[in-house]
Amino acid sequence: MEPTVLAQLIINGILLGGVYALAAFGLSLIFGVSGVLNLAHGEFLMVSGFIVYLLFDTWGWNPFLLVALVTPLFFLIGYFFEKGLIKPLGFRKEHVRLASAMLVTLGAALIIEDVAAFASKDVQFEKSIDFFLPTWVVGQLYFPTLKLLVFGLVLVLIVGLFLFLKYTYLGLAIRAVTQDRRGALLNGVDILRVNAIAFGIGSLLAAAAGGFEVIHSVVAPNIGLPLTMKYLCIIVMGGLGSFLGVALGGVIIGLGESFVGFYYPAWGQTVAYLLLVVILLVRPKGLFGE
Amino acid sequence: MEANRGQFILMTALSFSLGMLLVGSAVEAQQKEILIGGTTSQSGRFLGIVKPFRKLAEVWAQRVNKRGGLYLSRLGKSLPIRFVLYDDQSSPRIALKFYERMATVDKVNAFIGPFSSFITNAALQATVTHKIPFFMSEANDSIMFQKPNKWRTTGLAPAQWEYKRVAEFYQRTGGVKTFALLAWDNLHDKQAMEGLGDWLRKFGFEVVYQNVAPKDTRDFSSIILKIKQKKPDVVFVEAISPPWTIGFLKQARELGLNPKDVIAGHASLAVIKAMGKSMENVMSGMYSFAGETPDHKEYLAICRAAGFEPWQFSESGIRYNTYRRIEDALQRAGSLDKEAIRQAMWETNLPLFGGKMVVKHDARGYGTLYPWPTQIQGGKHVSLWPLDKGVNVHRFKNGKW
Repeated sequence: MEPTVLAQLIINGILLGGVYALAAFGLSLIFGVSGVLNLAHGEFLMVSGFIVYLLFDTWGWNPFLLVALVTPLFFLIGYFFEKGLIKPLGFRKEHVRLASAMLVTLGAALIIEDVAAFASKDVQFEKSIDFFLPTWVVGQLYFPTLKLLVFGLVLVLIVGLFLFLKYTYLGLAIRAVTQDRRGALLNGVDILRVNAIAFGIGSLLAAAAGGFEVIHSVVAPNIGLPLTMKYLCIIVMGGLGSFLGVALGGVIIGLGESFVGFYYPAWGQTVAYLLLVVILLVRPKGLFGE
Repeated sequence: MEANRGQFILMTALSFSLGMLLVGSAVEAQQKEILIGGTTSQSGRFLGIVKPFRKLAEVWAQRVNKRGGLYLSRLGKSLPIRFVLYDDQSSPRIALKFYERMATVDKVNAFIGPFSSFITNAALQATVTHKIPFFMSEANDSIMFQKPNKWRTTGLAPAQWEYKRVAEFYQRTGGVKTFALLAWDNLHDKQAMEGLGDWLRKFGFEVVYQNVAPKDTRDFSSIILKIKQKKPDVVFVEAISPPWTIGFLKQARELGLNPKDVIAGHASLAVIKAMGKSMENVMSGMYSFAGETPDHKEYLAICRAAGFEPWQFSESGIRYNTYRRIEDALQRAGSLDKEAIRQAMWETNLPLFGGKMVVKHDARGYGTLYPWPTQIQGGKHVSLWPLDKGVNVHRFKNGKW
């Protein structure tokens, strides 16, 4: 293999991993704090992309400005989603709560998908914004600007989340709930509020990823669940609840897809699941799981 | 005694058969309209390609009914046409459910097929069960023709013929030698791409890359890198799914894939809108060509009455072809007897577009229609056919996104 091709495959894989990690962070945060596997996570991404597209189509504003406007709304959507649908399950036995929460979020995902498909009848099923940022080219290597921006955002998020979790009361509370829900409760942490805030932040991150997807690629009502499955692979591979694990898991899957897709495109989408199985066989708790 | 009992059974059976025949004829004679049942994808992944087809069917039926309906000679009267159309949500499972319903509840006289081979493949089950003539429309993958089924025919040529004229086009215009081909992993798209590969090789071109990628592919960077390595003159991407095509083209632009020409097999309005000016000079295809025949005028008229221009939904040309096949078969059958319609459907020999296209069916049930080359110029498809007339001049994309 030519060195430039090898380098380009690595660049593509790492940047793709960054794209995956952005949304997977949110799923990991929600799972880590509340123990709920939010199967509607990809739907928040899709709906955010849908809204950014509609606003762009109506007003023609800069799509990045629209992403910045739309994303915070998803904090509220996630917050109230938890309050309305997850919180009522909170006083059941733990295993019943987890199973019920999965079913509730799966149901919500299917409903959101159907509503989005219905709402697309008079517009377009697939939404994609015609906006192009010139690619940064160094010699024979291509660095897509949009993916670089997302990767930068992921790095900022890692540092930001680290500082937030380490130095703020809410961050400490989140960590406490993640480590021991009962212990946190006994120490006066309002775990219901922390759960809702985690859902809010997680949904906000999914919405940011949705904004990226509609500019860079395409968003359609049926993309949510397949994406959630991929993010799930990433967080399980990285170790449930570990942000560094999510970033590394994203990059591993990105690199895997990049290399396998180069030689065998038909297997490009399966590699995430194969890598997950391999890593779990070697290290059942995931790369950074405790 | 034995003979008498045998005669009695025979007489009873004959009387019953005659009675059923008379009842059947009476029911047929009482029928006040011709019911054509089908599904269209009014939601789901194919919406961007077939959105106005429901309206198109209604417009066509209105125009036929305005002329007094279709004359059925054996009934001695004209009957209006009415479509019974459901939304299959781009799902084979849902489509089959509705075709079953149309056979048992709506009791349609004939079926018109849904969009795509993979939905049609499921829907065909209903025609086997209920023995109702099935006019397939946008479906030509070989999987549906492997088993004999006398109740279905398509107006389309086999999927492998889909891009024959594209290969001919480059042979006649020259200027390119090598091709890279990529298809969505789906019934039809794979065969259409394989067919193009075969035609290109036959015409002396070199195919330097040919592959399929899964339907959920969202990142094409590795595939694009591989194609760049092969340095093809022309890149061809075939997907009946607009999101897939959009994803590939956007990333090709981003990663500097700049061939002399780009062909997007199904450049629907959704694709053109998502890509904006970057779609300029991208090659594609439509199921019609430039001309002024009565068929051209009629096709244009029904599209406009349905609220769109033919180029915006390029598969609409297949629909027009299917409506004409239905009209022709019903009139030749002269009745609503399903066997008579089925027979007439197979015996189609219909000259369209000034005789430049004759719809016939081969022994398997395939038709003769396949697309003519177009190019996106000024944000819309323009026909590059017929070549000798020089209707519109082809422009190489030359890597300008």
